[in-house]
Amino acid sequence: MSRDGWMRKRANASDDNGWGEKGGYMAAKVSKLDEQFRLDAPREKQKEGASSSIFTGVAIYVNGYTDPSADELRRLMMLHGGQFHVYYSRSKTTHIIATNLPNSKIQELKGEKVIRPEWITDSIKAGHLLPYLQYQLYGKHKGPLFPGMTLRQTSEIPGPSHGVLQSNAHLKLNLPQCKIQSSVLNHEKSSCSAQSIPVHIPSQARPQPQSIQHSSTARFVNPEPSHPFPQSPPKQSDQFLVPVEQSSSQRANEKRLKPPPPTYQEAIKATESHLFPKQLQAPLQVDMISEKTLSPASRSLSHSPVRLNGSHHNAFTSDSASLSTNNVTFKSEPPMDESSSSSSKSSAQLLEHTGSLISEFYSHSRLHQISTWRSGFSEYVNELHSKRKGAGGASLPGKERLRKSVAQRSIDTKGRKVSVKSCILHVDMDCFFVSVGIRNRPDLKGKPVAVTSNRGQGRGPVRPGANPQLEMEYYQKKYTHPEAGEIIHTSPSQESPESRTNGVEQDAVALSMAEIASCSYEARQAGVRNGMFFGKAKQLCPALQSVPYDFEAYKEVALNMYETLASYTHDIEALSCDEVLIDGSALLAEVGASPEDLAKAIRADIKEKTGCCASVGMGSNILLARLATRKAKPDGQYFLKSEEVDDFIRDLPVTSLPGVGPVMGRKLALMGVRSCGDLQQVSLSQLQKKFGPRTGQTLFRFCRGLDDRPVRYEKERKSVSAEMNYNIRFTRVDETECFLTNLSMEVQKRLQEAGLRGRRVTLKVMVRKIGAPLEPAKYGGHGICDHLAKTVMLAQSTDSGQLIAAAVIKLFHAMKVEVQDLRGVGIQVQLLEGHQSATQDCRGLRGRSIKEMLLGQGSSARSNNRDAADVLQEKIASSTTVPTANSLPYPLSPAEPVPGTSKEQPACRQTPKHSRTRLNFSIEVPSPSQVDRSVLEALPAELREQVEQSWTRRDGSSHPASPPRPPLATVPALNYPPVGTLVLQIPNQPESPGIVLELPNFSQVDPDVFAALPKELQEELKAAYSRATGVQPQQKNPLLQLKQSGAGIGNGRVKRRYKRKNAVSPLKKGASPLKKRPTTNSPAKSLPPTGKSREPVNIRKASLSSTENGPSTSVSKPEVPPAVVKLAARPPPALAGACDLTDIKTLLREWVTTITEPMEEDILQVVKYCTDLIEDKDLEKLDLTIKYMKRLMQQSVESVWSMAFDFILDNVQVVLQQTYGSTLKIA
Amino acid sequence: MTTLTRQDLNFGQVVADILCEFLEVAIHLILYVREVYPSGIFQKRKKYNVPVQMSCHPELNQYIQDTLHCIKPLIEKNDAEKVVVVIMDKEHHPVERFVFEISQPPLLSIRLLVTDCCLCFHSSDTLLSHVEQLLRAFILKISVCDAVLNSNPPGCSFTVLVHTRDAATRNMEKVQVIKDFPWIVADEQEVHMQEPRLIPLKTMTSDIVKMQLYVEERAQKT
Repeated sequence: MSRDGWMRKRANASDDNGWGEKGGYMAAKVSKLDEQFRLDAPREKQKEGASSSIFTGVAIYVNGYTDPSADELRRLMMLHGGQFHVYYSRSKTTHIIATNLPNSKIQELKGEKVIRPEWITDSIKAGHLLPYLQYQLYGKHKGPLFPGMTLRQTSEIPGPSHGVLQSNAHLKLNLPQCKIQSSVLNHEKSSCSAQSIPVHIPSQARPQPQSIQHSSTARFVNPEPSHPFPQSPPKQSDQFLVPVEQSSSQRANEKRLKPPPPTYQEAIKATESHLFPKQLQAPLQVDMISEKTLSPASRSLSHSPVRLNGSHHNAFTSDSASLSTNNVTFKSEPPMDESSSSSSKSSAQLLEHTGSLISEFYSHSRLHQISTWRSGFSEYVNELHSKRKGAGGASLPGKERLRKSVAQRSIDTKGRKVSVKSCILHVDMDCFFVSVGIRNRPDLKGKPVAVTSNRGQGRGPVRPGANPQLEMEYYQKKYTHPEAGEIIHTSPSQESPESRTNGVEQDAVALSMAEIASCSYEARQAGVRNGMFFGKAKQLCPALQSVPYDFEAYKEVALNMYETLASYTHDIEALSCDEVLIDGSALLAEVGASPEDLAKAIRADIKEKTGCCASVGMGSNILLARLATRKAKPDGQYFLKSEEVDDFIRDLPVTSLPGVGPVMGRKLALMGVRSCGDLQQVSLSQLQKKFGPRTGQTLFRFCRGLDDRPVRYEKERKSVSAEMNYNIRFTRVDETECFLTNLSMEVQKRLQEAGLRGRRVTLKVMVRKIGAPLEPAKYGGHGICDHLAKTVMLAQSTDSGQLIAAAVIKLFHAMKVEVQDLRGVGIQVQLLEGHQSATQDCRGLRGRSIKEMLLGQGSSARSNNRDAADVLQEKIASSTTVPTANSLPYPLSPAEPVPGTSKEQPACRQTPKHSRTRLNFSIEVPSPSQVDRSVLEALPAELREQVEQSWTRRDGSSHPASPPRPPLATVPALNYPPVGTLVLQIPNQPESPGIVLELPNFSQVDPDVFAALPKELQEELKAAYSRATGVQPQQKNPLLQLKQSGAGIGNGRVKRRYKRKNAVSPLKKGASPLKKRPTTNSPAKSLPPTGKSREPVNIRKASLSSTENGPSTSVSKPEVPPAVVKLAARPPPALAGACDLTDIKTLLREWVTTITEPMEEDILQVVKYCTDLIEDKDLEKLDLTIKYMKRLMQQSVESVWSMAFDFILDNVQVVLQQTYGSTLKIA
Repeated sequence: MTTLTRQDLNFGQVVADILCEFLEVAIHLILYVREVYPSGIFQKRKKYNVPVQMSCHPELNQYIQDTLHCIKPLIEKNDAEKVVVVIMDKEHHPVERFVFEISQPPLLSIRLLVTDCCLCFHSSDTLLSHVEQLLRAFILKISVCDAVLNSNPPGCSFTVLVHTRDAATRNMEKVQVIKDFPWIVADEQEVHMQEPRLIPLKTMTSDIVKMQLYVEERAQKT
């Protein structure tokens, strides 16, 4: 805004009627400015002479420097009926105009329409409001609108697809201008004659000296309204042809060389062979092939889940945004190599690695991009609708033309009355990718062409481990005998692919596995199908030409098509980038045209503007329209009249019905139903019984040509998901977990983009089928898989990736699949609900109740802590599960990591509740010698202080005569809090009054293990041994009578964990229960476990297993968030270190089952625990414990146990009586 | 600024809100499950995502609401130790007592918690939903508690008792939260139960409140 304008306005604002009454200075000022704008507008219009109301309902706000300037834009808005806001208002301003914005502003304006000023100038030129889509300044921030496009240009991709992508990147640079050109061009064309196409381009691209200083896009700025574009005469533009930049003139030339439509003959032939190209394809081909006895290879090829052209391409999810990315063919480094080479990678690296894997996958996945387009187009249609509402009826040039032509004709043929009740038009581009691809290549016209990423001869190297033949046979079998497909039979010849000598088969192995996204009708004639592997197709049709993907062009053409259609009516449903449903009822009624007229007009228009052919099917409902399109293809139109419906549909195979895929087709075939006529014979109840109430009903209606679905302009999303089944090769669990986390983040991104939250989370997993080859035939592909899915309901709707990840990881563990066999992972979120505004959420808690806010606060910190703890757990898990002894990721890593801690892990991760309680524990401080100095130093100051304090405290409190603490003293894991404060005292041994640790006989220490211990540990051990010599044999706790049954030695792993549990089992305790009260709640070092036994082997195991736990604790300490330490509240009661109910139960079970006669002390210990529970007001747990003991002990053969239970119960009842005045009811 | 308000917020108020909401549901459900009132006056509703029974008798509802309204300030100040739903037989001798024992963690830790949380914004509803989960467990336990309890004699009535900490009683007598809805010190007869037997139902431990529910049942009910 100019300076004097500001001065003037301010003056106005202040001397006018005191702004205090008007709700503050700013409000007064804004309203004043608006008024001024309103007053100025007519004056300006008068001055200019020409005015319009293009921008009715549009309110712009200019941010930063623009060209034309803000003042100029303001003037333009005045002239053309728009609004200009000097101050940005989120609610009133509809568009923000800017040419470049600083990063901070971009962040701030995320989600707003930030548009380049060219939009305004171009719209004025075009004489009506252009869609702002292509003028967006930062397309990426718009969310679902073609997000892939911007990603693409930044990344270089190795591998065969390199060329394509590069050319895309190149295109991208030219994109803005091209798009502007073509879009303007289209509107142009709608009002002018077609021959002027090449002429207008240069005139548009005419360089303007003052605008060149900007980006290349600025070239199109033409602020002079005196040059109304459509009037520029051909001659004038001929002069301009010379100075125009070469690229654009080239483009113009190419446009001129538009390929002619395929000859009619060809088209008809193609139709015959390919009447139902989409869903029919797979089953049909199977039949065909089995008849003709082609090589088995083709059978597997015929079943690719991909349906590239059209909305069917997501066969199993109704929503196209959830992608099926099976056939993405970009190459990237297989993760397997990398991860196996660096298996000791830290989880941070892992996270990054898997994260990049995902982002790479999605940024390169072409299908992903195309599938996201649909939502873009849907939004475009929505936009049209809202605009129409705002503007009260936009100009529909197409409709006008149609009206005129109809009027013309009605003069010719008088009295022709068309009465159509309702008419749906299904517009589908003919082999979209191909026709776009060869738009500018007339040489390929009429030749078999396929769009694919493979450009070579259709061969690839044979990779070891792959067994394509087996896969093909599997699929073949699956189709011929659906039930038999469950087991993979590997015949000897299949097991050794190199032993095969058959040259033909060898060929099949080496064929290119790049899928064909789309192929021309000529190619289809030769038997090539969409989704076929290129190598196979090349065999079928040697003349097959491949055309690379050209996403920019697809987008451009698709946009053109949408624009064209939108010029007729706004009742459009976007099905995909090349497929649209139009509800023509209102339009036809209004104009009085017949559906055929409309279809003809639309097709001609599309043909003219995009250079590609479209087919139009018409019917009284969506189903019939779609079916009619099949008949109309290619490049035709067909109106399925209601009187023909019955005959038409009777002969259709069932699989041509939408929603009937190969699987259902097979099921129906088993029922003897092949055509819709057959299906009509099946009763509704039978169908519903077989396929469920809804599907049955749908089938029943569909096969009669009934369909009551309305054309929906806005589709509600049912689910948001992210799936990946390419290049999934994991070697370790934590890798997988990281990957799941990252994938969850991707889901989070999508949820947030869509502004949704979901409650039901589904984890879908593809697992290599048992017996399937390790390496699938397709590089990085998934091969033959079993599909597993597990679902969980979250407590509340969420869009948080963290929560989803937590849930998903839990699900993943519950699935118990081998990570090595994972081939695909997908996360789907359902039960979506929109949340009012995402901005509210992230910026605090505006508009929510205080309660929620406060609680929310608490929860987020909690969850953070929990995350930290989970990470911690994972780290522990990763440190303990590495099966090789030589990989020691942490300085204190044990010599012999605990293998198979699988049981512990799920326990840690069970529910938030568990983790919560866990976090309340005070943290144990390992002995100084066990702490890595560097780790300690890396800690925050106060944390370090706490750790050090605890050392000094401990030193002070421990007995002065106590020997240096043996290093083995630790508590099994984080789950076991130090609470029990089991200060071990062995009364009979005055020479060791403090804590004594059981050491294995030195001779029994595995020298390898010993050598692998850290040096300090070794030294401490040695010292301990030197001290212990002589004492040890007698060092037998008289209180403990742990009678180990001899079973202990055999089965290593299980036993070891078992032993550790024993080590902390109730059998170790002080002289009397009274002494067990904690003296302090400080994070005192908990008790070293003493697995006493008369069997030295067991002793050794016990102490070794306790060694194993050492590192976990010491490592974990530094990771603990400070908050947790601070919050360490009163520790919950624990029995021998265990406080979780399951642990307690395990302990009790061991106690009761392994010992024939309970010791009094043990019983007292249990009583103590029970009374603690009463004190802790946790009667529920008490009840459960008591009941469990009752079952255990009264079942025991020994009557002593019964008595023991009675004793315990009596004691508990007494305490209860004292506390609550009542006694426990024992049923 | 926002930080300040958050800290100054009375945490107890939030807890009280949650608990009173829960107690209302729980009382209705207890009355239904224990058949104190004919099941005809109850309607099925959904709370905490589980079906509950709620009376649609206006006077009864009013009584429960008033009661809880008075209890709320007590819980806010952490003065209520127990809220007891007593079911009495015809002679007004208690046969069953549903005891909600409430204890709140010391305020200090909550403060810390709140300050720690100020920086984090995402996944904001987690705690709330966690509490909801726990409360749901209570509700479910109540709805099946008739399995562990003996059936009551006919003609029962109920009352609500509050066990207060310290001298909160005196305050209660002085300050009437709702006019004409005074609290009185319970009769010994109403409190005392012969040969009570205790059946723990549920215990919850969350960051904001710790609560356990147990039933005391008279050994001889008839």
